[in-house]
Amino acid sequence: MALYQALLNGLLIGGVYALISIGLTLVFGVMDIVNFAQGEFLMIGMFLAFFGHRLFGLDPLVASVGAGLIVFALGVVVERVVIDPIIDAPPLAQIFATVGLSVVLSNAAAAAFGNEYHGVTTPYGAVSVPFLGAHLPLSYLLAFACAAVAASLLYLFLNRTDVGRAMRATAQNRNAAVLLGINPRAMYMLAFGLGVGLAGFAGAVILPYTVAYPAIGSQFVLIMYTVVVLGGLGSVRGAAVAGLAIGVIQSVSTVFLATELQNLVVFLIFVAALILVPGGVLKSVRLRRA
Amino acid sequence: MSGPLLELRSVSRRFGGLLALSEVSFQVQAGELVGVIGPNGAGKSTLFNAIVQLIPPSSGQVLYQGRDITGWPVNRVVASGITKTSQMVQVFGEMTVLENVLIGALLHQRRLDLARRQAIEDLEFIGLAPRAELPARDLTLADRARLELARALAVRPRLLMIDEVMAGLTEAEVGEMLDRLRAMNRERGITLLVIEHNMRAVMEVSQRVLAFEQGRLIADGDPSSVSRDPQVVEAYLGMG
Amino acid sequence: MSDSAAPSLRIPSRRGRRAVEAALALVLLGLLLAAPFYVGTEFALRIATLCCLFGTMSLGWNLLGGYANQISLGHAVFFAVGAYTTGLLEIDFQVTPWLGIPAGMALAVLVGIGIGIPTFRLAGHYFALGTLALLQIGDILFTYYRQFTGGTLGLTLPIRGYRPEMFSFKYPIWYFYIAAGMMVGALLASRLVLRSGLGYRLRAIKENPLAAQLAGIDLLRTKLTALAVSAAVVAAGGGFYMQFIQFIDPDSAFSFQTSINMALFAIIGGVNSWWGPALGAMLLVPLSEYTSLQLTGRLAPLGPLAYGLLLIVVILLRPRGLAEWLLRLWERLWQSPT
Repeated sequence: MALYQALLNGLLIGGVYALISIGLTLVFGVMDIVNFAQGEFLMIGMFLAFFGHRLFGLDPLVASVGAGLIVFALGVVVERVVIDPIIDAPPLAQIFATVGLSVVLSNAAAAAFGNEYHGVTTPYGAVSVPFLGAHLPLSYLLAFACAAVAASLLYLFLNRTDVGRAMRATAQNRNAAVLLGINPRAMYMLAFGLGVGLAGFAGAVILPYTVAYPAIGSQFVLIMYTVVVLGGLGSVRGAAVAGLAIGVIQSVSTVFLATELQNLVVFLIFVAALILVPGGVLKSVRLRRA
Repeated sequence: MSGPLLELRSVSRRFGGLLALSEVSFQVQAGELVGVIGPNGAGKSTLFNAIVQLIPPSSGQVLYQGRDITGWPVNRVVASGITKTSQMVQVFGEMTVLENVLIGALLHQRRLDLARRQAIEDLEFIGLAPRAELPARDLTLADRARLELARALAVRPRLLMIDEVMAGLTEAEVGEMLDRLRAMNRERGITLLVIEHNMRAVMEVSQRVLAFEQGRLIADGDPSSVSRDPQVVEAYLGMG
Repeated sequence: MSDSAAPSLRIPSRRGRRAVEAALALVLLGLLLAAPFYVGTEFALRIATLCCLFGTMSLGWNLLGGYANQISLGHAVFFAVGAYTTGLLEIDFQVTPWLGIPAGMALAVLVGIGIGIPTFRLAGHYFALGTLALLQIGDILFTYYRQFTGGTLGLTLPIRGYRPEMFSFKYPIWYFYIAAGMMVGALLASRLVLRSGLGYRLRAIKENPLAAQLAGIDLLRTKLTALAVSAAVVAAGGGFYMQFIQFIDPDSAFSFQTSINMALFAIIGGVNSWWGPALGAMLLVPLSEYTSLQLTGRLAPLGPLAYGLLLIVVILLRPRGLAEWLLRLWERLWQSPT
């Protein structure tokens, strides 16, 4: 019974992991940059939703769209100023530009808002919905639904619009994309904005069941990378499936292990994934079938 | 050593649906100077990469001194005596010309001072000594190709595969380069495989020519017979 | 014939650069050894000691991260191995740190090889991610197995009186001289590696792995060698830290901040230089200690915020770091009269 409940909870949390990781993998796929500041953009989304709630009484789920857009705009600016100059630089510069960004953003937030926990109370915060013999917290359910909608919209954007197709073309082969008349720098700006915007959106939709604080990004960092590596760096569909899987694994492992060790399982999977299947578990399964 | 220095047994290399090398078999004896010709996309560079195991064959074997080296790590192949220069020239741009060659010399000479002396000799041989202290990135493309050749020479190979080192050279420089190739082959006893688009140069310098088309070896013989081979003529005319 | 004239101009400049480097190193060393004479307070001496400690660790990080561009985001793991090995050996088995520190270094080498073999086969990003994961795994394990490690309460060294043979000194100056000696050792190792075959191989791998392989370089073995030296140097720093601070807990041992600081000092000082990382630590550690003293409470994050900004600005504007910039400046001054 506890296992069943943990499984469902894991799926719901996993949906949000999937959304954050899709943003990360999109940036990697298109730009070949690992954004170590992705968690900080999530944190910014959370704070935007928090202040939307406190100053204007907006529900975080309503504010999430605005938070996503604001983080998107911030991402576009950051891409232009910090990422664009190092897009062809050696790994040292690439890695530490985004690491520096994460240090700046988390400490700027700490200076501005303090290190206290910032949470909101919503009408549905304490409500549970019965579901096939289990109880699903409504806030988790709503966050999952929002994540699913956002991920579906992104999927449609990438597959059904000209800009989305141009972005995928850039991801596959930058030089060929240039020959097709695509401006890769515009694509980079858009991809980075979208990638971090999704994290900002996700930050807002999880606020009802968690709290915002400046260092929360680091809580998500390795989970995101585990999802992205498991799904295959750069694969959007892989990240979606791996996100759900990691949510379930993390949640189910608490049934068997001490709470302190719940992330250990995730990180061990991460290391195993790095070592055994660097191209991504899902990709290698697909290749074997083909 | 009585057998061939290098032997390929039905080596194939597939890239997705494309067969870049198809059932290629031939032998090279120690001391030969062999030209490799063929139109663009015939699989010549892939052949070199398959021999040095940079792009291991999908099937077939590469034998070196009778040993099957298929699937060996590249550095082990190089340490055992095979190396190559690259069509897309590969040098260490931020290092000086001398340091580039020194890296190669360090493979068999662990002492830095002796390795440096050897590198200077190799640079003199290749004609780049006056530029020894320049950063490699400041060289012209033709000089960078020569630098890669000097570095390849510095690892003291028994079999050296040279991928288009004459592109961009003047008539006189081509003549000098041909002299150098002969000197490497005769004086240093290095077995050479040379890809070259300059047909006159390759026919002049080679003792034997391998002709490729669409991943297949279509002719193997002395320069004059290969140049008259109807399949070879067809391949070149066909490319127009 | 402009290009044949160029090398003859460059050779003296290279020699000049060596002379400048040696002169700078001597000045630095002199300043260091004389520190007790102009460093009046105990607080200042503590900062000087920390400068040497972080200088050592940053030099260690740079052997791999700077020379070969194999970026580790979890190098504090080796610091933690050094600190915990020394501390546990002393507390549980009364082993003197003079043996405990080398033991920690050896263990760190083994850990390094364990993480290096699987991740070095992969592209640059994966090694960074792998070391980051190792850091988190270490944190969780050392927090959870509290019966061995003290858990979140950490390890505190027993009061031992002043016994030099147990690494316990009456005057703080001794800790400073040991740290300074450690950094001089790291500087020498750093210079030795850079000017040796290993250094050339690492640079080759950094610049063009394909060409390095064609020159017969064993990529995995070369990177592992550098990682082993790097891990040992950082672990020595960890062992010293345990003795100097006399306390360690998982959060301060497996710290992302410590990992990043090692890299930060190296990048700001100059990753291609054998002394750049030490220079970076000399500049930033005092600044960091001073600001953390001044900026408290709500203002505390401003210090790290400034380092983050500095890191980004240096990467964007001076990717070769201060060392290279200083050398260029000096050369210009030195050559202008002739």
